[in-house]
Amino acid sequence: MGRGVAVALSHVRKQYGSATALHDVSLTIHDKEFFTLLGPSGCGKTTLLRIIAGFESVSDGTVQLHGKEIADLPANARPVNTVFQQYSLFPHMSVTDNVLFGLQMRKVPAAKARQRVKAMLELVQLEDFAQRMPAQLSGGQQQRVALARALAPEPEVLLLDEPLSALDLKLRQAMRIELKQIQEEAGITFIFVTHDQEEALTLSDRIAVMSAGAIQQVGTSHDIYESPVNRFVADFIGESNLLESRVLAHDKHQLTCALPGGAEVQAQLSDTSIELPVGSSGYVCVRPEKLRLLLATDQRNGVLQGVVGRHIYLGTDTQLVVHLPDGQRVQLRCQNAQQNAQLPEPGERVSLDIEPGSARFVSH
Amino acid sequence: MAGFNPGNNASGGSVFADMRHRLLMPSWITIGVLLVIPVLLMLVYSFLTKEFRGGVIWEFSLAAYDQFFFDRGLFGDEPVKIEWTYLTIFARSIVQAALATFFCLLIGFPTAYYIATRPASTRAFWLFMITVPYWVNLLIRTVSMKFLIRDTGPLNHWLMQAGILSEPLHLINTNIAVQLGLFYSYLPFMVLPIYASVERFDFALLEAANDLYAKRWTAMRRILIPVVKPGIIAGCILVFVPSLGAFLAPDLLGGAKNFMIGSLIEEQFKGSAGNWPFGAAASMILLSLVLLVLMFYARSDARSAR
Ligand SMILES: Nc1ncnc2c1ncn2[C@@H]1O[C@H](COP(=O)(O)OP(=O)(O)OP(=O)(O)O)[C@@H](O)[C@H]1O
Ligand SMILES: [Mg+2]
Repeated sequence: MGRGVAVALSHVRKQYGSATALHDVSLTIHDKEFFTLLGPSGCGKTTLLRIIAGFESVSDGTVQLHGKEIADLPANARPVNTVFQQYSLFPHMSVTDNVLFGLQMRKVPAAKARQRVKAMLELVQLEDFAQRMPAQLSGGQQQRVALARALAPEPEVLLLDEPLSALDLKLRQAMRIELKQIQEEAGITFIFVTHDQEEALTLSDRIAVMSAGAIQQVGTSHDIYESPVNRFVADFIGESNLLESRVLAHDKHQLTCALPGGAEVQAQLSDTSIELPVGSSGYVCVRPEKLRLLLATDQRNGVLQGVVGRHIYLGTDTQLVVHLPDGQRVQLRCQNAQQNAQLPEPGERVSLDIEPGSARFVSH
Repeated sequence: MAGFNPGNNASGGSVFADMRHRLLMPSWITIGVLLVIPVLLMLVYSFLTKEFRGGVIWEFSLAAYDQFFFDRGLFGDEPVKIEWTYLTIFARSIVQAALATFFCLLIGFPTAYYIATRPASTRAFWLFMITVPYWVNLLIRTVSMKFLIRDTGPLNHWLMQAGILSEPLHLINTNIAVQLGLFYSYLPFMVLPIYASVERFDFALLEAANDLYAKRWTAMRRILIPVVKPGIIAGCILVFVPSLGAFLAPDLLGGAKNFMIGSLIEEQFKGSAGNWPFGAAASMILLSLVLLVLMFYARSDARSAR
């Protein structure tokens, strides 16, 4: 996907009084990309979006849009539109007038503007609601109006600040699919903010995981889930077993690490930008579904030994907690269809194996 | 009120509905006794015959209205002409009240906007500052104004000392003085309702407009003003209506030449020179005018709510 650069942030810092909301953020977002900023509450996602939109100035660093420096451009002169978290529809205007607003401000000829509004309302499937006032719409409909309003002036980049967070689960899932379709049809760069990792993983071309005002990792959903570069990402994305460990030997980024209980395991160092010397401490990261329960009939020992704690029934599978002798705990998933009958009882000693090639090593 | 009625039970006469009527009785009685009866009384009096030392004779007559609108000469036998004296007073009152409303809006809107955009902790202080002068009686404030602006008063003194004027600015007994008095008397009635609606305004809407390529002033005009319009209209009514019937400011600051309806009516009920039916008729005409303005408001409100 050799595409141009839509937005480039370099060494952006944002200071609110004495508090730093963003530390040295650098990002490159490509044309027509569905790019997601993912991170816990308060990590600076909205701040970053508001800097791109032009509502906040940067304390340091540069922001470029299609190669042009835009730090001095006011929000109303940036070809960037926003779908706000609370929608912020104009309450005194009908759906049509809301969508028309940006076109009027851009002085699009009336006839052409009308056509564009119609096309946008069709895109978000709200043709029948054109004359309604925002207060007469459901949350999901309002969200779609906000989307149509932001798309109508054909922005170069669309910013979406947790647009789905106010919706219930079912509607959220339906809107996700619609959003993705609309992005592909409109062919616009989306920068999407969320703290919902499932949303991020299903929608995005690439994800930037943020924490405490800094970017932790940028990559595809697959990269981020399979190869987290540090403890924060491993812990924040999906469920992880993080086992304290030490590097025993290394061959480039292929490490041999010590596990609790003395066994050794091959783990890959995901963060290829660093070299870890022998003896450095960190964590071996294993996803719950990559741990295998060894049955008595297997006649051998796995790399981890422990005692079964609780079972949690999750529908398609059951989560099992296993306590290791040194006090750490691991979780694993057993598919109900296959193993239901043979699940060990709480208190039973068990042995676990790690699926070859699935362990990752992360530093602190 | 309908929300208080649990469910929408067709059986009617529910316990709550009965109770609601009973609970509203004090309000109904107050409104009836203090509002409806006096207005009706006024209406009746306006159709009675005047008694020369004040008061009325209980005899039906249209003389009061006739006197207001028509000029029949000194002895009532000349051809009917329109009587301009009172209509002029009315017109002057309307112009003065409209101007007062305009100036109150001009100064009141930015004031209210400023207060509503301060941090929440300091807003109460600013509102208090706006209302402080109003703890003093209106009469006293108006008299003080008279002292402030008279030819030898402090205003002229300062202006001349500062070298801005070479001779005193003659304000007292002019329409300008009346306007100043009205503006000063009713300014808070403009500020408070506008403040209330700007305070509720979601400023993220201005950001949204900005994001959609609207410049700052365009965003204000297209988004802020229409959304806070109910507050603006309420403020305009609260200033316009009492200004129209005001008599303290015109009496004390305007002198005999700058009469407004309020003073005209007041005069009819004072001492033995008065004419009660005429005063009542003038009041009824004023009331009709006010109702007309309110109806206009109700219509425009219904249209914007659609
Ligand atoms: N106007 C402001 N003044 C001072 N601090 C601010 C301001 N806006 C944001 N912050 C701080 O900056 C940090 C980042 O805020 P931001 O709104 O970007 O978080 P977020 O990642 O969008 O969180 P959420 O998921 O809860 O929306 C927070 O610690 C916040 O307290
Ligand atoms: Mg946010």
